[in-house]
Amino acid sequence: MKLNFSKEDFNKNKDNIMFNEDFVKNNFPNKRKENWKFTDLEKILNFKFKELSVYNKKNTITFNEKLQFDHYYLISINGNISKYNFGNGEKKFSSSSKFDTKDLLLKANKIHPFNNFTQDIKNDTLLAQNIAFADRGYNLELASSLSKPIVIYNIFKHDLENKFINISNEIKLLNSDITVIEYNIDYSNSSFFRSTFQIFDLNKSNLNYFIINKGSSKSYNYVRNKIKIDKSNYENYIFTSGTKFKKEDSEISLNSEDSSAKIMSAVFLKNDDHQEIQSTIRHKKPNCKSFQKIKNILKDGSKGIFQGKVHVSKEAQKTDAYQISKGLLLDQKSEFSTKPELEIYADDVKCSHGSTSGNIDEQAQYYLMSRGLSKKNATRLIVKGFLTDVISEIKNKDLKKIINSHLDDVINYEN
Amino acid sequence: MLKIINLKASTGGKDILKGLNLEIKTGEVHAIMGPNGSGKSTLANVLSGKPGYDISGEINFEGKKLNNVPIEERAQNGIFLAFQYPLEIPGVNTSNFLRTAINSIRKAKGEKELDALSFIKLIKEKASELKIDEKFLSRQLNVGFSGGEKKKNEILQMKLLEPKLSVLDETDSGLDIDALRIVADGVNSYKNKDNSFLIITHYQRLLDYIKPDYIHVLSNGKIIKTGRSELGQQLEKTGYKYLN
Ligand SMILES: Nc1ncnc2c1ncn2[C@@H]1O[C@H](COP(=O)(O)OP(=O)(O)O)[C@@H](O)[C@H]1O
Ligand SMILES: [Mg+2]
Repeated sequence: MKLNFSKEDFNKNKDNIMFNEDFVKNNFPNKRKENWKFTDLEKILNFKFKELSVYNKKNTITFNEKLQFDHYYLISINGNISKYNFGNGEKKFSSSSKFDTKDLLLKANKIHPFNNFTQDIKNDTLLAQNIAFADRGYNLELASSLSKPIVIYNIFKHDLENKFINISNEIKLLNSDITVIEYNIDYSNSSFFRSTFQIFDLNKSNLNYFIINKGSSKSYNYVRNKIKIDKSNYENYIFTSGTKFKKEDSEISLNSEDSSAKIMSAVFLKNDDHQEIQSTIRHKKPNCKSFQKIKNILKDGSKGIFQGKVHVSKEAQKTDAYQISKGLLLDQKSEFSTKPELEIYADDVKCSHGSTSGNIDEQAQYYLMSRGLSKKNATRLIVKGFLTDVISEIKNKDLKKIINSHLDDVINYEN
Repeated sequence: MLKIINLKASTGGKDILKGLNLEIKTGEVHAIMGPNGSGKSTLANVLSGKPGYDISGEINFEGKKLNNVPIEERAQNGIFLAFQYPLEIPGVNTSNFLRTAINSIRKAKGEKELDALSFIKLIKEKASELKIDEKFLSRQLNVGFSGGEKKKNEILQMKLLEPKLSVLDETDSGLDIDALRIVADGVNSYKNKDNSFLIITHYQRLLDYIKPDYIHVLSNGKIIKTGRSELGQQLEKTGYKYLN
């Protein structure tokens, strides 16, 4: 596979232009790298793409499929924010504009200098590429709570075939309690590669971050999250059924006492979809909690992967870390792989992990069918039931309804 | 309604039913008693269409051969089995399941599906008849239910699905006296001249509430004795031994 880019594709940061072009050229991680052992990106991209060209167009569209509940929103087209509404009506947004109130700042993406990430990019060519190319994204800062959730309508449209889109986002919270919903809709019907780098900086705040896909997408997605948690609670809910390829890597630092991090996921993978969640949670201070529950339903030779690493430093006594991952395999061709990893240096901790993967319970199927349900309907109920304990964690009623109906659509589509 | 001729069933290399004959006419209540392991649950399972059995002989239900009819069609045609051990199904909401079940059966019969409101009305009424707390309806199917609650839930399903033939497999086992009476009342209030029952039990006490027309003794895969209700009282005194 050939990666096409020119000098103009490098974003405007001087350091980044200086950056060695060879480094970003044709260099994608493969399974020899620990974090990529279940996801050979090099092979996957080579198989799909003859070439990828760095995408640098900025488009706008009209969008009117908003969710039916009270919320603020940003509309992002191919990663580029084009509109927003924080309560005073819909406003246009361009990369040069910004929205600034006492407690809220919305700007276009930050261009990161390489120097800030020299450690990270040494082993991470995708991040290096992102820092070099990312020319879109948002930067949101809040210093108080919002009464309504923010939906980020992440729309993909126009011809994106063989494009390489690099996005960088940042959310910075201080004394803020918010819900952010990334709502992905792909109208492009193209195969493209989206790489997103996101920084979350939480200080005395609560962030509930949802990722929901509407419909299906032929896109390939890599997301790298760097999450810093200070006296805060971070909750991430992942409902990304329908995407061909996705790897979401989260590096979470619990930097002060009484903080918590939670990752919950419920996805239904089919048609050889490949999705991985990889997390590294660093418990650095005492009395922090981390909780991860990953549920995958797999069909048609799809692959689901969870790699969860928990690191508890010597100082982090009374750590409570829990992770569970479960795969429900609807056929023999599909695979669910997990690799839990615990690295614990404190002695007074509660850490546990578990993982199961199995087929559908035929006794349950029989029981339901003996009440008149077709095999299809019986299977649907059981499959939905498998995801129930993730859905029941969602506190916001409107969101719960939306997510329930999305999952029903995915499950009822067939089988 | 049901006619079984020379039914043999085996599973896992074990012959369980070894030539069983039974006829249940419309409106009749039959009881089957018999020692543990004699094949009572196997008979019930085979009637419901549970997979995994090798079967020979003939089962006729309302004049049609049942042997190869799929599980859900049997239910849709009016066969209901109240399980000896109702399964716990995590994540499946009880009331959601009941509504899907009732509508599957209505649809198969060419009836209109129940909308949410009429369903709620119906289920509340049936649940209160069986003294089932409404809270159970929003719980996961049978998960964490006590033995008695599970059995009551089976009878609730029976009353909602309105089968022609109800097979109750040891529904009385594990019930206290109050629950037994509620279940028996549930059965009696549903019983009429158009439906039939096959009641599997170890105890005469259930049969004191639900009067069977016939009692059969199943032993080693065959019906070895058939009698009227006195047979139950006799068995209660002497056990099965003297029959051999
Ligand atoms: N799946 C099976 N594989 C092997 N043996 C079985 C299986 N199911 C039942 N059996 C055996 O068949 C016999 C009859 O079982 P069952 O019908 O459950 O008896 P009952 O309900 O009368 O107590 C028992 O000896 C039991 O162990
Ligand atoms: Mg039995």
